[in-house]
Amino acid sequence: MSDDLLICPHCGEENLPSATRCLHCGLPLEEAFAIDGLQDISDSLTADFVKDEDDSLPELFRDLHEEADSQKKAIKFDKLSAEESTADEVEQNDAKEGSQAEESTPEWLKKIRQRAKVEEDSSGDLIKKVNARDDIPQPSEPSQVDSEFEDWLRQIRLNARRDSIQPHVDEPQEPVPVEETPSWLKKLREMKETGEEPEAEEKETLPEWVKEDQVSSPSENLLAKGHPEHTQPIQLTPGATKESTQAPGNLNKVDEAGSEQAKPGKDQEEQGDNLQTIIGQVGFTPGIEDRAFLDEFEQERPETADLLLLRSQRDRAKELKDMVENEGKAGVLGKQPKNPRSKFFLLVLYLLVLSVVALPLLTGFIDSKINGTMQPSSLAFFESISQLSAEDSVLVVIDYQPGSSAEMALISRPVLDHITRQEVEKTFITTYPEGVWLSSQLMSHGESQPETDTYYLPGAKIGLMNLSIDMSGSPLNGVVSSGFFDNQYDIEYDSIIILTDSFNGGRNWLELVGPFISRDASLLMVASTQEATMFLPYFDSAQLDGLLAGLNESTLYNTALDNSSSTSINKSYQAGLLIMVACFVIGIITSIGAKTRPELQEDKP
Amino acid sequence: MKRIVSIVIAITTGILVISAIIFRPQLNPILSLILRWGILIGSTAALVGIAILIKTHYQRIAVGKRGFFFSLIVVFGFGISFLGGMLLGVDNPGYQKWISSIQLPLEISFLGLLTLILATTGFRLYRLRSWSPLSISFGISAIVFLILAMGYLQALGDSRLDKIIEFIQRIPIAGGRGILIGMGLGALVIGIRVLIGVERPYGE
Amino acid sequence: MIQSVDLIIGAISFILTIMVFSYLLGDNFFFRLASYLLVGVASGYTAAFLIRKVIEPYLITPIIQGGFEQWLLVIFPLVMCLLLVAMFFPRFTRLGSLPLAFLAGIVAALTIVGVSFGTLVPQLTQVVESFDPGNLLVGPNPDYFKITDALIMFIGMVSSLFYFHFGLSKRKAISATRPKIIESMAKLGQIFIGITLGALFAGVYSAALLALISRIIESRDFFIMLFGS
Repeated sequence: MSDDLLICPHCGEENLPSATRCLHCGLPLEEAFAIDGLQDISDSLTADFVKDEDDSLPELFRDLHEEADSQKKAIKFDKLSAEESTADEVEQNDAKEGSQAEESTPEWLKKIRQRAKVEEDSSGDLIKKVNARDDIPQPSEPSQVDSEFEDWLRQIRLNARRDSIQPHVDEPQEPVPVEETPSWLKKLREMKETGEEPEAEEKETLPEWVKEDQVSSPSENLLAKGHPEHTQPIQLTPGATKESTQAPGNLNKVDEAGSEQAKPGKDQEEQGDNLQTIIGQVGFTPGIEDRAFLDEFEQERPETADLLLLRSQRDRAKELKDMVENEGKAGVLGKQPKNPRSKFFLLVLYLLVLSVVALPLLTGFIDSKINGTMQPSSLAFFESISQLSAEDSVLVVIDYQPGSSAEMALISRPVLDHITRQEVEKTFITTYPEGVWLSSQLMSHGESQPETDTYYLPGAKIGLMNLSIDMSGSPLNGVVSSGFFDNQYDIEYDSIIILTDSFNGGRNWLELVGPFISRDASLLMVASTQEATMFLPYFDSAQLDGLLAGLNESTLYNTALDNSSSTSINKSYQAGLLIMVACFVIGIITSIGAKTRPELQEDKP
Repeated sequence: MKRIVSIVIAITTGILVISAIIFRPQLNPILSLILRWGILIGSTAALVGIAILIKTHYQRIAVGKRGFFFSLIVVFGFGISFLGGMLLGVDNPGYQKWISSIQLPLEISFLGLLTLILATTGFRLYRLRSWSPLSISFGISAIVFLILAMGYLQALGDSRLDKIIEFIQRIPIAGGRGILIGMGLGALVIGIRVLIGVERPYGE
Repeated sequence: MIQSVDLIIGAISFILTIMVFSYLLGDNFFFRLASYLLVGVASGYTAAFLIRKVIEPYLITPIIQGGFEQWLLVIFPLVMCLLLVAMFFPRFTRLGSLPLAFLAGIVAALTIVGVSFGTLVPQLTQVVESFDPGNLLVGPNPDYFKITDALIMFIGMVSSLFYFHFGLSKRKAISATRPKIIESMAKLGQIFIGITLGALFAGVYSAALLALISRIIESRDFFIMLFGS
């Protein structure tokens, strides 16, 4: 069993042969980054290994092992943000090494190599492990060591940053029991504290010819065999040291402690210490006396980027699920806390506006004539109606909704009075179902208006187009109708007055009826104040012969008819406009004050 | 297949209507027929929309979803007004009076509520938004037109002032014309896209 | 009797008004009740109205009372209406695409015709005509007011259109900013659009104010009627 399984170089646990990541620690089974010192020694180690095993290994395996170096590809740093040039250089170096090695290979080996590409790797466990170690990128120049080291540090920083950003990183439900600590960590502690021999079962995983010293793990074994010159602690650049201390709190302690140099000792201890030193130099736990720190470190072990990414994805999926579930529920939004002070202020403002508007209305109605100059559009409207005579017919279109009926009734009243005085024939149509009873409300005010039926024009745009085309000669004349599809709607009206509160409704009339009516007919519009501005271009281009909008213009129209208007309503209207102007001005002043206040505070000594 | 049929119907109808409007004397009967059909189908579409609305609210009541009481109000209101209209007739003065007594105050009140909301908005506008040419010109223009709407300046009767007021009231025409042309071009493009089958707002 | 009916109607109107204005204290049950009641009543009235005024006289009555000719004329809309009704059932929703396509074709055609003849041509013609020398002269002398007016209208219209322009050339697609001349014209357009929007805002507020005034008057009349009777 143990022959088929892969041993993780990090935690020493067994994994399936097909696994690329260790199930226990999550790290890739191939080395993701280079440990300083190992790169330089790997060649020599490999060489030593091969040299030492000259007697024990078959020649075939030795040759295979030598050629494994030339055939391996540079391992890409998946998690590091290495620059392409570094990788390219490494690849180039590997290719160079490969080509050099190829020249010296015997024929029979070349054939075996070709066959190996096709077949499954027949090398045993040992070769695989060695190959795994040898697959570490081999920078040809010393300067690349620094760049790779920095890449490795960057990865640590990245992990640390992810760790700090992730607020919902679930801490283990239970504290990690001592038994589940990685074996390599256990060994480190043990070596530091007691200097005991490693457990027998650890040794049993290794073939005898590998194990020379009583060292705990294969990795340590290989490291322990290293030459003295490679066991010297590698001096970190000051910047690197500084940056490495930006890791989470645990690792800070590691870095502080890791700067201590390993003490030279006896062979075993020396080799173990060298390992610890190397590990300490790069920011991992060296042999530190503080056991509590080690416990803390193993509990908050920095997780790999992939695990963090998976966790963040899981958290976001959960959030999205909550959002979808809460969709449409008012209670979710309503739970936002509101400032009671601002709420009180708003209430005061509302009451102020209400009282200012209501006060003139409560004092009673006084009618009087209000003087002023009408706008050109209102003047044109007045003149157009004044030119109508008793023989003329007018089509009055009620194209507004009940919400605007109060305003439209106020503004349209003088117009209806005017056309009544002119004694023209009126026809009322409406484009809204509610217009049927709105027209009766309209006619009930003002001067006495005879009851007139109001016809409904269905179909919005389509109905308007239908109205504007000539119906004579239509095959539908024989259809039983209640007044819509027969010639009731004679387009030969002398004037069409559109009472509208929406821009779209008025525009439909101007676009679909205006171009098709007789040139002698006038198209007039009484518009709600909210849309009047957008109809001014149509008046300017002579598509509209007159436009009346706004209470003020309506009041002046009334005055022109020699009628009196309600002063109370006008006063209330003016008071309401005034308070809006005051709100705007105060808002501008306070916002300027709010913007300049921090500057004033800064200027203070 | 259904998709192609829909596209063909839309394109054919559109081209036919445009041709009939351009060649009105010859194609007037066809145009009026198509438009009449369109009115009937459009009215039915509005009815189906209302039916789906009521069905949605009914389903909420049947399931007992949170807030189903308001759906009950909708269905109740719909039932009373629909049954009253069908039984008494929509032209019945009593029926119209009752409908108007509910719809008028509600709709007018909603618009009246806007007054108070806009008053507070005007107060907080520049505290919440940054200063830009758009916001500054908006604020100044709103204040000027609110003052002009009061009518005090027009009541003074000064001819020079009247000319200035007339000029100020014409300035929005420039921006309004730009907006109209922009909207018109956009609507034109959308209409052409529907007629060539690129845009399919009918659910395909 | 009539007075009591008016009193009841007045009371209903007043209560509904108070329910809507209760929104000032925050979103509450009464405000939502009023909103949902409006939706229900308005939809019911519209449905009854459309059936009684459009569907019944122009679709159903010709089928029942009309002759063969009427049948021919209404068979197509009848089929289309039935397909639309099928949309009510989720399984047959896709059948509604045919009548909707028919409507979309008509509306698109009317939009093209209406916008072209009703907005674009007249508005652009007016811009050109405003520079007509005949319009800019008062006798032999130029009318500077009209000239200034025409220039402002033209610059305002063009700069407003520039404000809505968001195109980039292929070469400059890498940078996300518009060319400088377009950017400066767009800034000027912002001013004109701001002026128009400010005028619109004043109009909206005026309309809303008149609605508020009308509600106050109605409530006042109700109390007068209540305490007067």
